[in-house]
Amino acid sequence: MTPEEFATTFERIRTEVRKVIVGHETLIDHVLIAFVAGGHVLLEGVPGLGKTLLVKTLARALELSFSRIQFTPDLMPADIIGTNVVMQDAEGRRYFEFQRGPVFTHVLLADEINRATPKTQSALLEAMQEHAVTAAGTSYVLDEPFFVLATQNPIEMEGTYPLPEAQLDRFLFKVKAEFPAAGDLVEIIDRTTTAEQPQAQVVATRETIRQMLRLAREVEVASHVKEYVARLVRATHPEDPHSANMARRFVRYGASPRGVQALILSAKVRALVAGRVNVSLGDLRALALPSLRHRIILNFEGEAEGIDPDAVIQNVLDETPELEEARA
Amino acid sequence: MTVLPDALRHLVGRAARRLTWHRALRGGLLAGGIVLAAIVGAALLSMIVPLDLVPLTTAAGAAVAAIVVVSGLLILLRPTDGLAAARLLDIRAGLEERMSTAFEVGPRARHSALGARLLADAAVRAESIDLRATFPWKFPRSVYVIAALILTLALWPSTLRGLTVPGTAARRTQQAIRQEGGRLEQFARALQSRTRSQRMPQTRRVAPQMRDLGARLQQERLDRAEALARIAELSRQIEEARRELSNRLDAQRPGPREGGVPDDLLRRQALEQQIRQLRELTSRLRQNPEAVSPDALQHLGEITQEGQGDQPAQVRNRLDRAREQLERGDASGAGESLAEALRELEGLESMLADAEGLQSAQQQLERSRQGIATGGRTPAREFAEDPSRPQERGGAPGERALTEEPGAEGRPPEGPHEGTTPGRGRVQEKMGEPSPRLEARRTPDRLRGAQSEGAVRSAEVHGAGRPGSSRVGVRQVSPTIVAQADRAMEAARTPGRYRALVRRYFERLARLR
Repeated sequence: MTPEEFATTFERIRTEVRKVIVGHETLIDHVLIAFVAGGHVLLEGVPGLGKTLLVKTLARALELSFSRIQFTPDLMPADIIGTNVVMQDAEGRRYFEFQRGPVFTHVLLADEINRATPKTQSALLEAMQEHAVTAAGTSYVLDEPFFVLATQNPIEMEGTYPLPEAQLDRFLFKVKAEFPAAGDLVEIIDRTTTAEQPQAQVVATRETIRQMLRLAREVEVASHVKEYVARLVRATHPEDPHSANMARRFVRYGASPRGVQALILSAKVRALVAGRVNVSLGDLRALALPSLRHRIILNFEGEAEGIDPDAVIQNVLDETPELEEARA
Repeated sequence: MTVLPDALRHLVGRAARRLTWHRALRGGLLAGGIVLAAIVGAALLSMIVPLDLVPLTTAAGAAVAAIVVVSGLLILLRPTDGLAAARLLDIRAGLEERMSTAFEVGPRARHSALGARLLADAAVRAESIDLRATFPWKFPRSVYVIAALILTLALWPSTLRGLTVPGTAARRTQQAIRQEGGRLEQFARALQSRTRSQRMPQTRRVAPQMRDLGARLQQERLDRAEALARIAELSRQIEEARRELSNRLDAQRPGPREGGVPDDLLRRQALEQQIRQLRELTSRLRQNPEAVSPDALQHLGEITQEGQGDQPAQVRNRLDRAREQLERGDASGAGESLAEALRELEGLESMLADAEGLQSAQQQLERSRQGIATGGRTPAREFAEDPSRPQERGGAPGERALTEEPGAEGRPPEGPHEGTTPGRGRVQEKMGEPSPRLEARRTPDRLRGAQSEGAVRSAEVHGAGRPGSSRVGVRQVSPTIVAQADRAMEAARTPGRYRALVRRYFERLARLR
C-alpha cells in the first residue's frame, strides 16, 4: 500500500461514516485514527449521540464483525470472554467446549463500561492489550483487527465504577462526544425519520485495514519531534523540572509512557492522512488532547477546583517549546 | 554519509550559513548594547561617585569592537549545523518537519520503507522555498536600544553632564572643582595685579587665561575629567611658555646651570641686589660726575665680582668698560655704560620674574589639579589660602608683604580655614582657646641681621622663641634643600604671614653671605 492509497482509503471510510453520522467530524476522525493506529477509544458522552451507530457503521464500511456489550453491575467476565460449557458428543460422552463471548469480534462496543464491576472491567484488559483472552488456562487469540470502543456517561455517576487508571491507560484515545448543533439536529431528523435511511457501503476489506496498520508504523519521525513528545509528557508530571505551571499545581501523576506511544502512533496515522510520510509537530499538537487527557490524574486541589485535564494539557502545550534549542 | 538530494542539501546549507550570520549579528549587537549600557550606567553612576565620563567616540568604538569581535567569534566558533537549520526552516517555512526528518532519514533512507518517498517530498518542497523570505534580514530590537544608548551618550555632555546627587562623593568633587576654580581666579587676579607693576609679558598673557579658567570652573557644570582636562591644557600652555623663557635665560647664563627653580630664585635675588647697587652708583655719578671716588671704584668692583655667576657676558663687559672709564675719570661715559648695564640687568630680572610668575601659576594649577583629582581631600586643600582674604594676595609670586594692615602686628595672625564657614573668623574663634605657646609673653624682639639697602619691613613675633643668636654658620646649601624647604613651608600648617616671615629671614641670610 502506498501513502496515497492509505489517504484515499481513509478518506473513503470517513465519507461512508459521515453519510450515516451527522456532525461529530472531529470525533469521527479521532475514532478512525485510533482504529487505524490499532488502538481503542473511550468515548465519553450522554446517551443518544449515535455512538452505537458510529461503531456499527464503521464495521459495515469495513466489512468487519461487530458486537455490543451493555455493561451492567451484574455482568460477569464470562459474559464478555466466554466460558467452557459441557457438551455431549454423539456417543454420549461429555466434554468441555469453550463458548466464545462477544469479545471475539473485530469491532466491540462496550456500552457504559463504568457500570460494570471492576472485576468485569478488567476482563477486557487482556483483550485490549494483548488482543487475546484466556479462559480456563487456555489463551485464545482475537482476530485482527480488534477495536474496542467503550462509552461512559459523564452525568449519571450514581452506582458506577470509575475505570481504574491501569485500564484507562489502555485506551489510545479518550474522545468527548459533544451535543450536536442545531443544524446537525435538523439533519439528524431528516436522515433518521424518513423511509430511506442512509447505509454505509463497504469500502475496504480486512486486508486493507491490516496494510494500513502496517504502513502507519513505517512513517518517519524526526528526533526533535520525538523529543518534543517526550518533553510534552514529562511536562505533565508535577515533579519534572520543566513541568507546566498547571501540572505543578493540579496534577498528582502525569501521563504514562503509553501516552508517548499513543501520541506518536496516532500522529503517524494523521500524517499519512494528510499526505505526509513524516510526523509533524502539528500532528502532535492536534492529537495531544485525546491521547493524554485520560492519562492525567488530578490531585485533590485539581479535583476541588474542578480543573479539566484538557486545560492542563493545553497549558503544557503552551509552555513546552517545540525545539529544545528554544528553551536553551 | 548523508544521501540527500542536491536541492535539499544546498537549501539546508544556505539556510545554515544565513542563520549563522543572523545569530552572529544578533550576538554582536547584544554585546555592543551591553557595552554601551555599561558605559551609560557608569555615566549615571557618575552622579553619585566621581567617575570620568567615557567620550562618545570611545564608547562608540568600544561598541563597534564588541560587535565585530563577538560576531566574528560566533561565526567561527558556533556555526549553525545543518540539522538545526533544517528544523528552523521547517518552522519558518511551514514545511511540517519535512526537511529535518529528511535530513535525519537521509543516511538510512534505503532501509526505510518510506525513506525515498520522504526525500523526494522534501526535495520538491525545497525548490519552492525562498530563503530571503524565510529568513529575512531584519535588525533585532537591540539596534534600537543601541541607538537610544548612543543618543543618550551624545546628549549627555550638553544635558546631564555634571549633575550630581546631593550628599554624594560626586557632589563633593563638584564642590571641590568650584572651590579650586575660586582659588585659581583669586590667584590669577593677584598675578594680574603684579603684572601691572612689573614687566612680565608671558605671565600677563597667562593670567587672564587662568582667571577665565577659574571662572569657568565655578560657573559651568563640569565633571572631574573635563575640569582636569582644562587645567591640563592651560598647564601645558604655561609649560611651553616656561620652556621658551628658560631657554632664553639659559642663553644669558654665564655658566652651566646647577639647579632648578631655587637656582633661579637665588639668581634673581642676586640680580635685584646688583640692580639696586647699580642704581645707587649711577645715581651718585649723575648727581656728582666729578667726584669719582675710590669708594665708587671699589663698589663697582664688588658688583662685578658678585655678579660673576649671574651676569651675562655683555653686562660684565659694560661694567668693565665703566670701570675703565671711571679710572680714566670719564664719569659721564661710565654713567652711560652703567645705565646700559642696568637696563640689561633689569631685562634679565624681568625675565626671571616672568619665569617665577609662570612657575607659581603652574604650581597653583597643579595644586588645583590635585585638589580636584582627590575630591578636595588632600592636606593641601586644608591649608590652602582663602582667596577672599587680603593675605591671599600675598600668596602671589613676589609678594613678600609681612604686614599690610595697620596695627596688625599686635594681634595673632588669622589661622587656616578650620570650622564650618571657610574663610571666616579668627584662630581663637575657630580653634578654641590659644595654646600655651601662643599665650606666652616675651619681650618682642626684632629679627636680628644686617638689613640690606632699601625699604625693609619686619614684624614682631609674639611667641615662645628661643632667645640668643644662632651658632650655626651661614653657608650656601644645595638648591634641592632650598626646594625642599619651599615645599615644606607651603605644605606646613602655618599661617601665611608666618611663612612669609620665615622665608624672608632665610632670604636675608642668603644675602648676608
